[in-house]
Order: sequence, then structure tokens, then C-alpha cells
Amino acid sequence: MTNPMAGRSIHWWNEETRFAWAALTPALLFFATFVGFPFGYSFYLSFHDWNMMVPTPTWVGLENYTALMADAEFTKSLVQTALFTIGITACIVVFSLAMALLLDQKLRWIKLYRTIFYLPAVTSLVAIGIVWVWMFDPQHGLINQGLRGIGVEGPLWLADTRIALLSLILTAAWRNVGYFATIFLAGLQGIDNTYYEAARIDGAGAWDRFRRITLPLLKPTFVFVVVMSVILSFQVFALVYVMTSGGPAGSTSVLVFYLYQQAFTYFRMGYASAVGYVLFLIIFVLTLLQFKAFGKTVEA
Amino acid sequence: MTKSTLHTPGRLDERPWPATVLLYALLLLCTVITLLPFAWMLSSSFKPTVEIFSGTAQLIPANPILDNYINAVTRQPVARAIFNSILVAGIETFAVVVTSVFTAYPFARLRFPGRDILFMLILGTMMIPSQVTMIPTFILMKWFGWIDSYQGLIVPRIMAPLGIFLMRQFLQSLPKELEEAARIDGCSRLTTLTHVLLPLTGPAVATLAIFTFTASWNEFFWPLLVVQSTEMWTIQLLIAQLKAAEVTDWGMVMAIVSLSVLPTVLIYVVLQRYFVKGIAMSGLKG
Amino acid sequence: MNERNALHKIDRRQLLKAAAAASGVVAGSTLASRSFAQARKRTVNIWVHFGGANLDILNRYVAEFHQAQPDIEIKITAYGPSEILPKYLAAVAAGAAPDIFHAPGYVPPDLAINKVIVPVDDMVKLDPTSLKNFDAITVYGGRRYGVPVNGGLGAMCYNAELMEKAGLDSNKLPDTWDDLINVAGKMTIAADNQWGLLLGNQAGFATAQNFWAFMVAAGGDLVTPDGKASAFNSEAGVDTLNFLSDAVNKTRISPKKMYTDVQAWGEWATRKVGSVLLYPVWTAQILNTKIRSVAAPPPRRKQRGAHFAGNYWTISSQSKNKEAAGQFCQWWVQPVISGRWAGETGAIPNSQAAIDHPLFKQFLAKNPLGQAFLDTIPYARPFPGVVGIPAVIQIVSEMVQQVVLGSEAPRDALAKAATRADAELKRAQRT
Repeated sequence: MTNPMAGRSIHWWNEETRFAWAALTPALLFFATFVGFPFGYSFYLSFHDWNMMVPTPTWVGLENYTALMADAEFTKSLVQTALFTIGITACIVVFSLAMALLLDQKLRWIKLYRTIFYLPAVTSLVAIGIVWVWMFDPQHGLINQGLRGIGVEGPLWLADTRIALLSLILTAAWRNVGYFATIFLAGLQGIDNTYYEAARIDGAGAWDRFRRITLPLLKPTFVFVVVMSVILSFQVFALVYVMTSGGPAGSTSVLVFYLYQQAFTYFRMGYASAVGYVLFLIIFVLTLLQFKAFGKTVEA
Repeated sequence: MTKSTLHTPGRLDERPWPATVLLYALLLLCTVITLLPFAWMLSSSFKPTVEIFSGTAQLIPANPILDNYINAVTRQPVARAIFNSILVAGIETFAVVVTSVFTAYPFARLRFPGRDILFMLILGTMMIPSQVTMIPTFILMKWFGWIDSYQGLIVPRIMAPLGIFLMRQFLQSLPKELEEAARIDGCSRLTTLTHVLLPLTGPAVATLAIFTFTASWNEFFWPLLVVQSTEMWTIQLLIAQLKAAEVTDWGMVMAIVSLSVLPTVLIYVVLQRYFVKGIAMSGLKG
Repeated sequence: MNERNALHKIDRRQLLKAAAAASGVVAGSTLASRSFAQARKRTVNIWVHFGGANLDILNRYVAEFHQAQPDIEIKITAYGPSEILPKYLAAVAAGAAPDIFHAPGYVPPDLAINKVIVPVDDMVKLDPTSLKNFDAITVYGGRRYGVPVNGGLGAMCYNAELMEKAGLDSNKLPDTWDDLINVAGKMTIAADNQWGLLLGNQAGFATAQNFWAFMVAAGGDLVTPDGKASAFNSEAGVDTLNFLSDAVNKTRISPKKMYTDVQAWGEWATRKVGSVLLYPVWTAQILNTKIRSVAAPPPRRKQRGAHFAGNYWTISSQSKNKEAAGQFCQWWVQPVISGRWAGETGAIPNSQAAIDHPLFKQFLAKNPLGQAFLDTIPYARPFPGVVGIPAVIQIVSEMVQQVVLGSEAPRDALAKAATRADAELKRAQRT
């Protein structure tokens, strides 16, 4: 049998490579079948018109894509998706970091708090959607009732075309802050205390220590959080589906929901596939940009 | 190298007491915000529907009733749905953990042509929104004859790019010496993986298990497509169907929602000890 | 050492292969035995969107059918009304459609034109006194594609107790839109969250139904007679939208929030709802609250009008048991079955014969709300049966939201929606 140490430098098809590819074959098969094929088929569909009822789609070339560019509803969805993504990412970064800092303190029962704050993340979006629709009810909901208790007349939340999207952002933030706080917490706890000691000796105040030590050393965590947050924000489908159905007046129609509607309400599966593609390209480009901006520090 | 966690959280003796009070107040505020929806959900499940619609919010029900839970269990296939969800989530979690470890190992430790590109490709699949691939995957299920079956629910999810990513980070953080020692002793790569590295993956496995179980438990759209008969419904499907049809019986809906939240909460509470350790050791922080 | 390890590796691989093969055999044999069992009886899979009490009643009727025809087995699966059509489409696309699809509210002409469902006139003979209202929404190209499960229409239901509390005579129910606004206004106490009129406004089919109900009364139409263009951008449309919008924003007889009709009917029990547009299958819900309620045909504008809905069995072209499915539908439309089903569920029977059937009359006698629905039958019109109507319905519902919950002016909203609807109609009818 080949000596594993010697084979490496002589021929690239050595024992190491063989083992690697053997171990990877199941994964490759899986991804080819359940990701590659659907992805490719969906791409193929995006050049067709298909109402899912006729057995064969009709070729229309680039028509779906050109229609996309001219579609006001699509643009509206795109803008709303961007607003949602930016909103949720900002909320998550700020609130999760704040919560992580809070959890990092030496306080009693801190482990219990950590468990509690993570709870929303393990609850299903469907359940959360249902409960929060009630929380936001302008008449019976807890939020407005609480506001009424302190003498403030609350907004219409999900019924207000200007605030509905914000309501969704708040719901998604409520759900995910605990999860990302745990990630930030792990990051914070990995920072060597000696840095802080040295800074304290040098006379740096709390804010300075935060700005000069904590933030820079948290950069890889930031990258992970932002990237995951952007990717997760596209999962808002379940919330929209359960809470608003894209309303009121289409103000919460985000791209994934718009896609779903085009396929199943307007019977335009080909067009929906094209929308899905554009969505993928946007996520792809965004992720690339994020990696470029932050430097590839995640690939340690 | 393993990270030394020499970082000690803000020391008690150094903090002026107003700051401590403020911190506890903030913690309390966060707790209230986090738990309020759950509290409302639970309390509604013990109220008759009319009371839920009433103008005043009473967190403690005036006359708690068990009827909603009884209705839920007798009139809806709740037990079956929960069983289905547990089965599917359980198998998926096991599969994802096992496949992630075996798939991540080559990326973490071996050198071979195409390694980095392949890894990027696999990670890249996370960027594909699931709505894009759902219908074609559903058609695939039809070709395999897996519609309305456990295979249809589980198999498309037995591998997860996130799992591979986490495991790779984690395996990379383990000291190379362990493996080298095992190789010198004559262990094959496979044995090294299973007997030397695998036992050390505890925290990462726990982390991945929590993520995967939760994601699988909460999955909604794929089961909506694949499942056709009532016996195969998962608990999320049951809730979603109820939302439309039984909105008039909110009490029962809330009871079912409350029941649906339990398993993932339990799993998290049981495994959460390993969880923070797992994240820390997975090298996410750099 | 290496040889031993190599053997060790092979053993493991063989074990895995054996395990895979074994599971394959098990899976295969289970599939085989299942299909063998099914071959003896003809199975008809029906997807319905009934829920709650009505689903229980349906299951009883299915049991009865099993007695009548033991060689056919019916399997019912229930989905929510907004989930059932997407699921059906996905199933059709993958070639896994159920035998019978319970079409919600109307039979989308698109399903017929694209041969997803088959004409049923050969398999099912409707009673000669079948309600004519069904025709517009089940007959395409001269052939019938939907078998009525039951009829339905929207009529007004008033809370008599609240009317009397407001000093109104609960025997004098509103006859015109202005009457309704007046009566509802008197029943509204905004500070106490009590509202005179609740009309669902969540985007989708139900909101379009509400719009259509009032539009008919206003003398308007959704599409042109040839079905090629939209027709709701008209004075009647403006009139209707104004009514809906004012209810929330000006006359303030309805709350400003997003809700479905089902939620509105559910809130009846709080005794804070003055009136709703009710569909008869939800009568039981209303009566169960033990609140004294009265019903009447919807108020007039230019004429009497209402929306005619209903439930329909459709038979999928992919079905392998069309004959058995047809037999079930034929059994269903007998006046004795239809009358009893409608009576028990509160729906409108399929035919005059069923309405006159003593069994239905029994239930009607116990139902104080039932007569108003029957009285409205002559004025009730279903959605126009044109290809592309599903898209138009969605667009119309969003338009209502834009005016009622958004701040769009009715004329602008109508114009924009008309442009979109025209485009969708053109596209859907392209082939």
C-alpha cells in the first residue's frame, strides 16, 4: 500500500485525494440531486411560460426577465425586501450585540437569562406569526392595550400600509435577537482578558475599551452575523404568509412572497422562477460584497 | 490552538451599584419582552375564545379551562402531528450530524484539488432561496414516488451546508497532533475520524443538533407541498391549516400552538449547556 | 497493519451496502403490498377545504356513501381554503392530483381550459331544478366542469340585541346602503370597540367577494361581456369603493384593521359586532352564540345584488378512478342528500327540489336566519367565468385594501387596478 506521507508530493491522485473524494461522494450526489437539479430546472423554467396545468412549458426566451424589469409590483417588492433586510440586519446587529454585552456581565442567574432569551429562536415562525398578529391587533392586541394603559393611542401596526413592514421587522427581530446574541456572546467571551487589563492600566475608559478592543476583535463574528442575517432575512416568507398575505395593499410583499404569489395565484411559474433567479443573484452579489468589505476573515 | 477563555465578564466588585441596578432592570425588561408573547399564548390557551377577544388583556385567565386542550387533542390529530414532527426532525438531525462530520473532515484536514472551490460551492447553496427550488424538488419527489411519505419529508434535508461549515470550523480548531499521533500508530483515516476526532465533537454536535432539530421542527413550506394525507401532517402544517379554517376557535388554536412549542424548547433546555461552548469552539469568532 | 485496516474498511463498506439493500427491499415490499390492497377497492381521494363542524358532517356523509356503495372508498383530506389551490397546482404539476378537488368558491375557468379537470356532464346528471346561479361559474365551452356541493351567497346578518339597545326596531332591517350606514352608525361605539359593520379586508378571494357583492348592487361589472377586458373602473366601481372606504374612514362604522371575514364572524360572540355579510355555512357559528340575530338580503343601491358562491366537486383529468368519482358526485346531488347536507351545514341546497325537500324544510324551520339567504337567490351572481378571473380577483382585493387601509383615492386605485387586470386577462387568454 502507498505510504500516505510519500504519495502526496508525487501524484495528485494519491491516497489523500482518494479518501477525500470518497468521503465527499455522498455529499456531491446529494447536492447534485436535491440542489443542483432543482436549481437548474428552475433556471430552465425561467425561460418558459408555465401555468403548471399544461404538461409542457412554452419557451418564451428572455420575456420573463424583460417583463421583470418593467413590472412595478416587482420593483415594489424589491424595494420592500431591501428595506426589510436592512431593517432586520440593523436591528439584529445593534440589539444582539447590546444583549450579548448585557449577558456578558457577572450577574446572578445569568445562565437562566441566556436560556430565556434564546427561546424565541426555537419557536416556529408559524406559531410566532399567529401570536404576533394578535399582539399587533389595534383593538385587542397586547401592545396597543399596553400603550393605552399609559395614555398613548397606538398605531395600526399591521393594518397601516406605512408601518406593516416595520411590524414584521419587529417580529423577526424579536425572534432572532436571542440567537445572534448567543453568537456575539461567544465572540465576546473569546477575547483575551489581558487586552482589557492592559488597556485599563493605560487608563482607557469603558467606551474606549469597547471601541478599540471589543469591536475590532469581534470583526469575524460581525461578518458571520451580518451574512447569516441577510440570508435569514429572505426566510421572512412564513411570517408574511401567516401574518399579512403581502398586505395591506401589497406593502409587505417581499420578493419571496411575490414569487409565491406569481406562481400560485397568477399561475405564472416561469415568471416566478425568473424572480427567484434574480433573488438568488442579489443574495449572491450581496454576500460577495460583504466578504470583500470585511475581508475573508471567516475562512480562518 | 484552543482559545483560552481568560476573558472574565465585568467584575462585580468593580461596578458601582447604580450600574448594577440598571443592568438588572435591563435584563428584566428583556425578559418581559421575550416572554410576553409566550405568556399570552399560554394564557389564551386556557381561556374560552370569547374571553380572548375581549377588550381587556388579562394575563391570568379569570376562569381557566382545559377544554381547549381537550378539544385540540380529540378533534385534531395533534398527537399524530407531533409524532410526525419528532420523527422527521429526529431523523434529520441524526443524518445531518453524521453527514456533516464526514463531509467536513476532508475540507478541514485534507488537501486535494478542487477543495476550496467545492467548499465555496457547497456554502453557496445556502444562498438559494428555497422557494426557487421547491417545485422542481417536488416533481423529483413524484419521480421517486416519495410524495406524502416520510422519505419525501426527510431525504431532501439530510445534508445541510451550515452543518458542514460548522463542523469544518470545529474540526480545524482541534489540535493536529491528535491525528498525527493516531496515524503514526497506524490508524486508517476512517478510524482516526471515528475513534479519535468524533468523540471530541460533543459541543459542536450539540450545537448542530439544536440548529437542525429546530429548523426541521419549524419547517413549513416544504411539508405543505409534500404531505397530502392527514396522517402525515407535521405540527406546523396542522397549525397553518387551523389558522384559516378554525380561526373562530382561537382558544383551541392557541392550545395547539402552545403544545407545538414544547419539544424544541425542551431540546434546547437540555442541550443548551453545550451550546455556547459549541459556538465558541467552532471558530466563528475568528 | 495496512492489510488489516483495508479488510476492516471493506467490511464496513459491505455492511453499509447490505443495509442500503435491505432498506430498499423493505421499502419496495411495503409499496407493493399497499398497492395490492388498493387494487381490490376503488379509492377516490378528495381534497376539501371544510373545517370544524362541517368536516365532521362531511365524514358522516362519506360513511353513508360507503354503505350505499361498498366497492368505492372515499378518502378525505382537508386543507385551509388559502392553501388548497396552491397544493392542488403543485400536485397537478407533479402528476399527483387527487381524484376530486373541492374548488373553493368557484371553479377557476383556467382549470377547465387547461384540461386539468374534466367535464362532468357525462358522468353526473344534475337535478332538472338545479339552481341556475351555478351555471355561470361551472359551464365553460358548453360543458359543465363543476358539480355543486352546495350553494352559498352573502346576506346581511344583524345583531338584534345591539339594534334594540341602540333604539332601533329589529324588525325594520336596512333596505338601502344609506339605511345600512345609518343603522350601523347607531350601533357603533368606537370607544368601546363596538362596530356597526364588519367586512373582511385581507387580500384574497374573500375581500373580492365583498367588493363584488356591493358592486352588483351598484349596477357594475367586473369584466366586459366577452371577458377580454376589465369593467370595474366605472361609476359603479367608484360608488362601491367609496362605500367600503367611507365605512372605515368617514362614516366610521367599521374598524380600521386588517382581518378576514372568518375572524369577523368569530367576533360575533363578543356582542360588539352590529352586522356582518354572512355566508350560510357559518350560520351555525352565529346561532351557537345564542345572540338574537336576524338576517336579510343585502341592501339595495341601484338594484338588489349579492355574491353567489358555493362549493364544487371537480374531477381531475389525472384521476385513475373518474367513474367512481362521478358516482360519488351523482350520489351527492340527489335532492334528499343535498337538502339534508344543506340543512345540517346551513348551506343553500343545489336545486329547488332539494329546497322543497321535507328534510331541508325541517332544518329551515329551526334556523331563523335561513329564509333570508333563500330570498336572495334571485339576485345573487357568481364571479364571471372567464379565463384569468383568479388574477383579477386578487387584483381587485388588493385594490380594496389600497383604498380602505391605504390612502389611495378610489378613482386612482380603480384605474391602476384596471390596467393590471387588463394585462392579466390578456396574458391568461393568450393561448
